[in-house]
Amino acid sequence: MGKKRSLSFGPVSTENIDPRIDTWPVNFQDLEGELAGTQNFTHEYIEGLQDALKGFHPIEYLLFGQNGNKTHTQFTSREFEYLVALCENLKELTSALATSWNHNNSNSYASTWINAGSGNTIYATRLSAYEEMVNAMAGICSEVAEGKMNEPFVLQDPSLEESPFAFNSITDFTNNIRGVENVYLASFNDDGTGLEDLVRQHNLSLDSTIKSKIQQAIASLQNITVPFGQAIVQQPVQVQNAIDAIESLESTISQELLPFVQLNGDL
Amino acid sequence: MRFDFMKYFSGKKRVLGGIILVIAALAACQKPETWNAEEYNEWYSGGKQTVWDKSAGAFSSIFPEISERNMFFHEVGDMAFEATFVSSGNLNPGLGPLFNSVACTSCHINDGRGTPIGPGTQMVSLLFRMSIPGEDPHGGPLAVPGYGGQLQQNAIFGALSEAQIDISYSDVTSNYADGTPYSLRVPTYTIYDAYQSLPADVMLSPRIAPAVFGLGLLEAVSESTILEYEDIHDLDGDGISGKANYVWDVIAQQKRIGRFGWKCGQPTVLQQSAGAYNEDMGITSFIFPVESSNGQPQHIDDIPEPEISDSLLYAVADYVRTLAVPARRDADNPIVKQGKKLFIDIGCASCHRPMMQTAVDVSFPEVSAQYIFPYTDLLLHDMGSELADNRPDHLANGYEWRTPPLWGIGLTEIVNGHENFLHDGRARSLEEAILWHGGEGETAQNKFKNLSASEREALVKFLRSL
Repeated sequence: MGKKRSLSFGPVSTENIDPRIDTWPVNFQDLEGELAGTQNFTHEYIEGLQDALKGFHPIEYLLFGQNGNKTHTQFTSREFEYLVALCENLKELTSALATSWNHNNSNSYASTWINAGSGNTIYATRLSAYEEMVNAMAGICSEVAEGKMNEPFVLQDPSLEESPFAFNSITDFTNNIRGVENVYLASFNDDGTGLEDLVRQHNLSLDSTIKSKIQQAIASLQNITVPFGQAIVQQPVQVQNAIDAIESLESTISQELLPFVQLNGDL
Repeated sequence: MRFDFMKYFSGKKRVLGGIILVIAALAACQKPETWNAEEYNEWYSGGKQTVWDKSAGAFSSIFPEISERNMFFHEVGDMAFEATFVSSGNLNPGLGPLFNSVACTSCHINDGRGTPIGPGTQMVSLLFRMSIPGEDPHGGPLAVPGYGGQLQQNAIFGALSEAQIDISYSDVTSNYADGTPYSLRVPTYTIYDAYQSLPADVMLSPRIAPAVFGLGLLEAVSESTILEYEDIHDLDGDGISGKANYVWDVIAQQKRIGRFGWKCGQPTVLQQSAGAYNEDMGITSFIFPVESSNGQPQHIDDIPEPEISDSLLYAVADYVRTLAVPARRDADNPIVKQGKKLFIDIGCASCHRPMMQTAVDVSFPEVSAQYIFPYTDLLLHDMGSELADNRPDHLANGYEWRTPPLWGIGLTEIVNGHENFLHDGRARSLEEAILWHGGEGETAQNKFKNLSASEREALVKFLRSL
């Protein structure tokens, strides 16, 4: 999960990869059934399972256990077989996704993407590619603030937390916002030309607002010092501040950055 | 209350409150309508509820003009539309025991169109309705004993799925009048691993998940506006009939015009949504409180009915109702305009009715009195034997299908990554979809085949601009 979310368009969606690697909640009743059963966890069998029985979250559950304190001696052989099969399935799907984003392959989605503009079968204008990016940036902000954080928070129900077993949710949320930053800066491992450069040409103040709101959102998440499931009860002020900071970033993206690219994206 | 001005101001044109122009209904069965260009702007496919997004989110925008209250329902419904159901627990319980899919978004990816199957993926966005000859008490399809009205190829752990379906394709080739060859793929569906034997006279109807935006506007079209185009006995002799389906409205406890689904089988967005929860996911609601597996040996159900609350069901329907329509692209391009003229000239617009006006509805001003460009008449048409599912559905016979809306169709590739069209996704492009048209659409299809390559390209370019 984490950083990839701000790139949640293209093959991860159109090739139906996202639901197969990142479905929440886990279907625990059926998962226990699979563990108690006798089916071989073959490649085909895993492919045929419902989405809520594969991908990140069942893997996290198998690794860490219901209370996050599982040790290796507690693994049954059946759990281990299931875990291995799920990891192989995850590797296969994420490799396919990585291949589709390899711009060195001329048939890849990435090549189509970077060549947005006249004659492109999917992105007939550069604007449509910019819109795609900006909508995805806003989309993950609202998913984190209004969904992943706000739902367990307003209901004060830790069982609604997404990815609770590894006590890693705050890191996930932070990586989601870093994903927004990476897309904006076109920076991952090295710094490319991206939205930031377009914005800086025309509107330095918008550039600075976006950057500072990203940093505020990350800093406010770091102010939460206990696992998210506890924080919704023990640190409500910090949780509310983080939700507000992410929502503020979202509104800058959808109300200022989106109109900006719609005005300047085809230049 | 819904007030239909068409009935009251027939033959005249009036201005209401200085804002709303109401065009009088023309006499029945005059088609296509004469358009008065000063009163609409065809760039705005969804009237005032049109959005300019042409990215993968093009089908997922909320109405740009919406009350705070409806915006709240939209947001609640949006989350419910994305929710993944599981067998039990305190988070989204109630899945199955039999199901096709675990979430609305599993089939309606990005609120868009499904595709038959992809490598390594389960067949989620294509489902099969099933029935045996006869009618239920309300004139609907008669359920198959031991199976019900829809084939569920998935089950929760411990329950047997009903059956699996394999799709295979064979190619048929032909030529355009100018000699250019083309090929169409003909699907064959084979049932295997059936949990018990199927009756010999079972009828199957494949249905792909359609896009779900703009449905609030289509729901706001009055029945009389739909009936303007009805011409069951083809009295005007143009080879196009057009028939309204009348289906059972569970809440109203009466028959109403069906306008949603591939054969106009559902009267309202709410009932369509409740039906999908029940049949596709095994989630009961106040409208359909009985599990689809009821009476079958797989029926294990410890969760009390209804499994989705009334308020969430209403919110999901409100979410779908308030999804905006993407604007046209390139509508002023000369080739697009040539394509539009050809679309009308060869007869496509006889069923793919370009424009409608929604009724005045003071209780839902977001959809009230809008000129919209859905390119559908919401009626049933005989589409010929090659597309026939040979399975009646209320008044729709085995050859008839609803004219599907064409708005937004040019964004399918960007939203859903494919261009598979028609009720079972057999067409791999817009050209193929046209070439499959038989029955009432055959004349237009033949005229399309007789166009020059550049004319065909212009027509398709027009479709892509929708």
